[in-house]
Amino acid sequence: MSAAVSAENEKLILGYPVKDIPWERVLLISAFVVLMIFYTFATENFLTLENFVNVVRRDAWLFFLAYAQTLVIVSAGFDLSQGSIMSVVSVMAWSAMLHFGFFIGLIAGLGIGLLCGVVNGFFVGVVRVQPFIATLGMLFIGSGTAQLWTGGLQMGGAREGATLPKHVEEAYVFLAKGNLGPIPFTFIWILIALGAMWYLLKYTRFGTYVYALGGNEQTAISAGINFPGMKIAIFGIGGLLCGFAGLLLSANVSAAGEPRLGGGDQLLQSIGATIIGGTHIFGGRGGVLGTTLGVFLIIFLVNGLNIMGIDTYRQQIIVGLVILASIWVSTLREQKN
Amino acid sequence: MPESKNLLKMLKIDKSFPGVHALKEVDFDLAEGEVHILLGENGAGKSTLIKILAGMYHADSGQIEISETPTVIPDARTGRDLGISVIYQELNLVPDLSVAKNIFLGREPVLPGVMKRVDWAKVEQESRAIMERLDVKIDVNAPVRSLSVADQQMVEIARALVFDCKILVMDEPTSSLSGHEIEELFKAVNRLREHGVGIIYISHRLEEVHEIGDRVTVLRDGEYMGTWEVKEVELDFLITQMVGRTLDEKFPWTPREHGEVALRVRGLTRSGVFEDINFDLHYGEIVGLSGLVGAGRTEVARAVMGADPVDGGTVEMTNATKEKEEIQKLPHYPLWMALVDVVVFMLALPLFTVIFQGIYDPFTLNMNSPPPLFSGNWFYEWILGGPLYNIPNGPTPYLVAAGLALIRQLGLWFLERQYRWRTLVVDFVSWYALAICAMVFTSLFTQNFVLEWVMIWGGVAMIVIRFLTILTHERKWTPTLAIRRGLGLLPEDRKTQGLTQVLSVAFNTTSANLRRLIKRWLLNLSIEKDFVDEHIDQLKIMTPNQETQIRFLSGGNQQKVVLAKWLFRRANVLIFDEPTRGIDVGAKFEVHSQMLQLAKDGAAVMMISSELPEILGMSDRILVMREGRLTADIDRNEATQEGILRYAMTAD
Repeated sequence: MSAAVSAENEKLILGYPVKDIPWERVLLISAFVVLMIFYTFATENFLTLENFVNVVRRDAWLFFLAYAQTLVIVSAGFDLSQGSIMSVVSVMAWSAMLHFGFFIGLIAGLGIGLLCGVVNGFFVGVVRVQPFIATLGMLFIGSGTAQLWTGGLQMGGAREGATLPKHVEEAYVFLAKGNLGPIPFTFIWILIALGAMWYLLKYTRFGTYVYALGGNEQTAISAGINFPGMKIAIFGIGGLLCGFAGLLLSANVSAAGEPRLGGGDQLLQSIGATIIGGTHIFGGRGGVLGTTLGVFLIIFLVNGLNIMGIDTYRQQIIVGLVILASIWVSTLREQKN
Repeated sequence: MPESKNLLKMLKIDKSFPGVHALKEVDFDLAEGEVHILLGENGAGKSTLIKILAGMYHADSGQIEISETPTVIPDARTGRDLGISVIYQELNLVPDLSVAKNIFLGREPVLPGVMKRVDWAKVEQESRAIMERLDVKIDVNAPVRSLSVADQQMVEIARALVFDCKILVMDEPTSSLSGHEIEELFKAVNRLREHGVGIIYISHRLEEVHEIGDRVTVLRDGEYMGTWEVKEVELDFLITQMVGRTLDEKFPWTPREHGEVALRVRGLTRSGVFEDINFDLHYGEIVGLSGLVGAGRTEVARAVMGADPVDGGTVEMTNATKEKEEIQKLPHYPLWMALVDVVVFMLALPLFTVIFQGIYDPFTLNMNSPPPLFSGNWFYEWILGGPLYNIPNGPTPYLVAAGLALIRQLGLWFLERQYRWRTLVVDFVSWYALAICAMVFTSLFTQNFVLEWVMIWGGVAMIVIRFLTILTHERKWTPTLAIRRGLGLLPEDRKTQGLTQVLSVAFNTTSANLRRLIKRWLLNLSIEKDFVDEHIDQLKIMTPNQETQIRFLSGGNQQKVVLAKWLFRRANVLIFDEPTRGIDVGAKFEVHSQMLQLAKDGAAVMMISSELPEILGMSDRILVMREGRLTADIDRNEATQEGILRYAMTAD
């Protein structure tokens, strides 16, 4: 009763009633714009098409990782195993490519990602382990498997004896670095993933149930939502996206099987981008559009600092501060409500 | 409604739980388009009956007929499929989804095609239609979290309608609604009635019986007392039907001399929970606080304890020190204070920089010679700093420091931090942590350490200001303070709030007052051992030994350990919240005897209980609460079950 009445009387700004303006989103976009302007004036080469294309091409994997993390976090889960799924996929896809060619390798990579995700989902949904613990287990299992597979060595690249056939390697590299006319391939992958995830979350029952599970698990279950099935699907899709991210990153780095591929701060960046993008850490709120903005903010923040000649350690400090600031903003807003 | 069809018939429903015979051959029936009110005291068996209907419990014997066909309801899902919806007091909605999505959660219509697109347009349209049918104005696209409780309840009702419900159970739907909202709810209920939905309505407000009900059924102690047409019965008649529990229990009550006032509560208010609570508690007295579940009794006890914030009122404990303590909502960190802090800080900044530059550089640990007090132009040297000392190059550190200070102060203001002594410590630590972070951060990008001094002295100035502010404010009433004054609360939920289940009897007894065990800076466990042994005997705690984990003890013995804990703390004003819930008869008598013994020894005892016999049997004086207000203060000799229930259930 009260909601409707007050909404009619309220002023609208850009179509939103004043109290419903998504301040976090506004702040995020303005932070991004300010950053762009700052870098444009502070450096010479920042605002060029070449730089933009290079950055998005190189960091494309982060989009997929962050979409996966967003899906999982919105459903009140957490995926720690993303990095090690990338590692496993990298080495196993490389092996498959060596023996069976590019496409089989691609499918194997995606399949392994999916499998890891489904196992995560099984433990979370059926065995009912906390997502944090279940995926922590997968983190160790994944990175252990990847290292065992290769004896801890990089496969291809510097290693003697086994290298991918020329045409396979070219195809692999093309996946990450190729162009379709003037448009980089990775842009297309990102747009497809973004579109699919957006559609999934907004227009399907699955998406609604993801939000319902994140918002109030008991209600969701009592409304007849299949909890184990949902968890397996959510983590499965997450694993699939991680697998693709692993393929992209290893193609970009060396087109080799890299057992420590996901051992860096990839996981942390994907969580960071998700949080900066306004997804609530306990689930129920958020989405892939915000996450896309979050990824853009992170990769261009780092890119600009690179151009300015500030080293990685300082970059990490700054990224950390940005994450804290974004969380602070959302907490303040929540407390006001 | 003579021709209306029978929707539900429950015949001779019988249900026992270990130790309790919850329902004794209860009959119940519901017709189409009828509001059937279910009445009963706390624990009369209303919710058990509802849970059996919803499929959450199974009756031991008896029969359920829905639309005149015998039915078995094995689980909640079947219940729902049969058209039974229950709206519990805790609402069951997803806060971040819109109203429409909540209404259709779990049964969204999907458009044909491979894309499996949900037909949100249809969802919205039908939600609107349902809202119109209920005649309420709720924006179906608003997220549920933005709605009031009343509106959320409407969403629940709408949801029940989507599930095509024929039998709607409402468990105390009006308990958290205001007068106007109740009217709206009743309108909606009437509309449902017109549509032929049968409504089972549980309420503690007797006025509502005549306002909304068609028929009324009364349960007492799990027994079926009868069903009447609402028009034919008086409220007084219903009350006499609800009470009348036999008083065959024995209570060890004896008259005592009352001492002076131990606890004086005046005007205690927490908006929406309780209002204007006034009472005195004397030493040597046992006061019973009665009322229905949800009347705000536990909340009052917690507020008196200082565990929950209040909006107004005072709690006064007149113990040996005769010190007066006030509960008062302290002013928030005001904006003007934040601005003063910033201004002081910014003024202090250049001054301190200039003064303390060059004395001691914490990074190189070099002691430089202090600046000369006077070497010609004092203004130049002391105010401007002069050329002798290392003045930071450029405005960057000043701006960073000022920015940090501003952010911090605004943050404090936003977070509504209150002044407390602890705040001072927190301030001190956080300020220095911040100073060091800022220093490290700026030193990464610039090459001077001026900022450290600036922050340190700015912090000192701010803490002095804060100190003065605290001195001018009154102290906040907190559990720490209340306990120090001798107040002890034995909470209703002793398993989680009163005890640590996996730790020993001895630990649980002494943990609230470890200071009493300290001898020469160490815990002297022999004191613990003696005390616990003595009280295991005295309170007759049945435990193999002191080291037994609490979870292996029965409920009554756990309660006694909580009591021992407060005795170890030397509490002399004790509030027992439902002290005998879930305790067997023998242990009940023990707890009552202990309570009496405490009162005889001069302690002030307040007992919150839902059981009227216990209230009548143990109290010297009885307070009754109804919907957050004290409605009666009755002497032991004048109290009757009917009288108490009348005060607890009806507006005078």
